[in-house]
Amino acid sequence: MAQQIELRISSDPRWLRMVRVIMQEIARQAGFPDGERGEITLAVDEALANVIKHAYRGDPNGTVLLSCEAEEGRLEIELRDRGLAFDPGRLVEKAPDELRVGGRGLFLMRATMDEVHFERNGDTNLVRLRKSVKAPTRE
Amino acid sequence: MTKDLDINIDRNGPISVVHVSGDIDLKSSPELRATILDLFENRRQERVILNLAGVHYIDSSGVASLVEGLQEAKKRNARFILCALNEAPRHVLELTRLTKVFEVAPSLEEALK
Repeated sequence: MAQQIELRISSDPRWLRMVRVIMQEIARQAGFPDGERGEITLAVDEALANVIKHAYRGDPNGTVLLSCEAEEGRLEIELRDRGLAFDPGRLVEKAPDELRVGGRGLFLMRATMDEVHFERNGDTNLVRLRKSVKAPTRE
Repeated sequence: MTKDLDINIDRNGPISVVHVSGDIDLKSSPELRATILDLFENRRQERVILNLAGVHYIDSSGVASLVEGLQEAKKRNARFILCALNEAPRHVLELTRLTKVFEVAPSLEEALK
């Protein structure tokens, strides 16, 4: 049966570390091996950082709802915010092997997750990340 | 608030070793960026070695800070070396195809040679 976790977080970068610790544990509970746990944590961190930077323009007083649905070998994570409409098409997503300073966050999300989906519903931005375990492990 | 990142600098003439410990993310990367740029721009260092032995996490904002450091080094014909990379930061540099762009040394001793 799927397990559900919800977190309501201020759009303040100080909480990124806490979210990473929680995501490591959720991914562990869902049966992901160490390397894939790191990738999931990176993708969620990048998604939350995008919300802080782009949707709330650095304002730490916004709210982000992070919800996870976990079952053995599968994880779905959604982030919702009511900041500025997020247009992923505006972000640079070309191959990042050049000496460009920024624009690697979305690339890393797509490189580490099976599915990365953005949508805008009314005044809410939604980012959905999905990943299934590649090599199940027992701990 | 507790600090997520500790930065200590050993300067020896034109060479600086920046010992970094903690997570490099959206919150902490501005301090690292400012430290690196200061060493090139104001202290005129010819070689800056970033000792990442104590770093187990870096995000895209941290990578951006490293790229800025490398750009500044190239502009001044200086060297910017990353050393003692742990697995997770190395994986992020591999994913972003930057391992061959940076000068990477396996250890601080190698970077100082």
